[in-house]
Amino acid sequence: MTVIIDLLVTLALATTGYLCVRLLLKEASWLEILSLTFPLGSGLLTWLFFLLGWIGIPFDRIQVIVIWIGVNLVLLALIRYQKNESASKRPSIVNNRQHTAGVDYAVLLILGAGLVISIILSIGRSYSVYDGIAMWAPKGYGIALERSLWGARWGNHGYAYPLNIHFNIASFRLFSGDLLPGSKMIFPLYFFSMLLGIYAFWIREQVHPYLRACSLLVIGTVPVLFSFSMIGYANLPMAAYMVLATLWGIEGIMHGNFKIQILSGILLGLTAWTILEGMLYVVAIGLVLILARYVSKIGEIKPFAWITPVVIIAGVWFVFFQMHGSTGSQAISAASKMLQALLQGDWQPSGIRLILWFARRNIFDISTWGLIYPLGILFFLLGWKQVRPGKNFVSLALFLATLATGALSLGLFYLRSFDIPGLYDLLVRGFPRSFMSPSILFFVLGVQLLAAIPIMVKKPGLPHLAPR
Amino acid sequence: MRKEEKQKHKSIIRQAVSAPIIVYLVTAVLIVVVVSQTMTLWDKVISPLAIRVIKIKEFSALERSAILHEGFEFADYINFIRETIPSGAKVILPPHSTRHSLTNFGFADYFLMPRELHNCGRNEIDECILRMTGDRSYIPVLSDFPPREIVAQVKQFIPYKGNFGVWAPK
Repeated sequence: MTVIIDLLVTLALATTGYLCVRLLLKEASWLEILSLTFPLGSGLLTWLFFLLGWIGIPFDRIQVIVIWIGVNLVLLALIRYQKNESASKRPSIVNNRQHTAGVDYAVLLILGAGLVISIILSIGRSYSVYDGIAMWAPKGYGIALERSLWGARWGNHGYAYPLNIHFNIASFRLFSGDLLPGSKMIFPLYFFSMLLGIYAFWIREQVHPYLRACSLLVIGTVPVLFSFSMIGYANLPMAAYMVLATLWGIEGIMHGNFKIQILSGILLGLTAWTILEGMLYVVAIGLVLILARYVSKIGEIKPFAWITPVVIIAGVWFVFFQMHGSTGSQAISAASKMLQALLQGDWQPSGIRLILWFARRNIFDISTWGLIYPLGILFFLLGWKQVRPGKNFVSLALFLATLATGALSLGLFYLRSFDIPGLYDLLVRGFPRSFMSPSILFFVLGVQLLAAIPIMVKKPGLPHLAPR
Repeated sequence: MRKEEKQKHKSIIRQAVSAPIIVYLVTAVLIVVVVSQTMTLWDKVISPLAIRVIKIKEFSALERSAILHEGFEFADYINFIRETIPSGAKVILPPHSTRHSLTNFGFADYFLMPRELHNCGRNEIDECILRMTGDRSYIPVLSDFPPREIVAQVKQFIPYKGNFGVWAPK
């Protein structure tokens, strides 16, 4: 019975996501729908639960069901209104994107098997790694126990972290008691949603079917990523939101598409809604995509569409954080210590050297990152010309996003080195999980560059898969 | 789908898949990488975890957490503490230290909630314990906490194994 209830909770979260996708991407391919339903549904619903909880609406079964029904009815009404409005008015940027080959189905079958293995092991190991035990799970269980967002006081760090993962866990606890624990399903779901999103991106970018299929399996079998899909940390969900937001942001800007930019904005907002430092990554991604747009002079940014969801989702959380969470925040304490040290001229150059040395060593560790860095570097060297300004907006945007997220991840370690003693131990514990987004984006960039070099594209006269 | 459209779709796919030889070469390299990574993933992550998970599949989610993080003895002890201390009670823990995971508030919350937790201050352990005269407060033994001669004045001992157990209201 518990299994069925857990599956129903997952389905309920995904249903809302599905309706959001239908509203924003009317002509989305099934792959795009599949990749977005869970991250969108779970993120938006948990944000709504948080918001309603803040104004005093209790988080109990009846309220949650009523809110869920209400949200879905509103989404259905909007979809219907949109249909009646006029289908032809809506710009279509998804022409022919559904062209999939047999190899695509094969790779999806393999991914499906991977997802099942990941879910079984994720649930099987329960919450057995520190952050999951001391933060995510007790806060989620606390919310369900107290029927209120204030139940997030349980576990470490008070209200210093965004409550996306907590409310997700709380939803399972509320309905099934989380006896399995079914809430551990969400982590593999985020990972595989991200993989599908990358795959859909490569299909849109006309990457050859064999190339995209094998490249996806390369990402899917990176030991540290697969491992983090099972342990119950929020880093991989955040990476999933950020990668999806970046890829859809590129798509939306390139085509000047209002609704796709809303989608990217929502995903960016949900990045900040998942991990505290997500806010910094959101700013970094936003700035580099704007930079890529203005350097390459391709596409159009719709500021209202793109920025409003970020400001609403991340902004509301940030106000709450300022009011209730900032005192428990390690980041704020580290930032103020760093500022003091820098003002006194203490730049800690040994810390910078250690971080760079560790990063260089870690990214080539096969048992951690597999071979994505050697491959990514090789692909980059073969196709680097595409990154030149004015040549290819997608490649430039991905390149800048990789650089920005990578630099930010390293910068955050530098920041923490002022506050937490034992930088080396901190790097051992935290580097791989902090470096997920730049690593994934780097490999996506590498494949994108490789696929774009003339010798890889097609024989003369062969039509593109999806002409734009 | 109309017949013509279907044919067109098939033809596009066929043409796209028939790519230059370089695509096949890169694909072959990628397949080798995938196989190598899958083997690493299997050896270092999936297989060891699967073996551990299968061994403990009969246990509850909470017990599996305790076993995988701290071991079977810890899981047994947690079960004893949970059975001995009522869910509405107050649990008194030693000052936070890295010597015992249960002194970490968040960590202990996961295993002991909905019980209310309190850490004694580092410099007031004796006073802290002597204050616990109420019938809601329980003190589990963790390492050398609580000092036996002090706690015996206000609590009675419910033994578990060896020196371990719970000091309960008299």
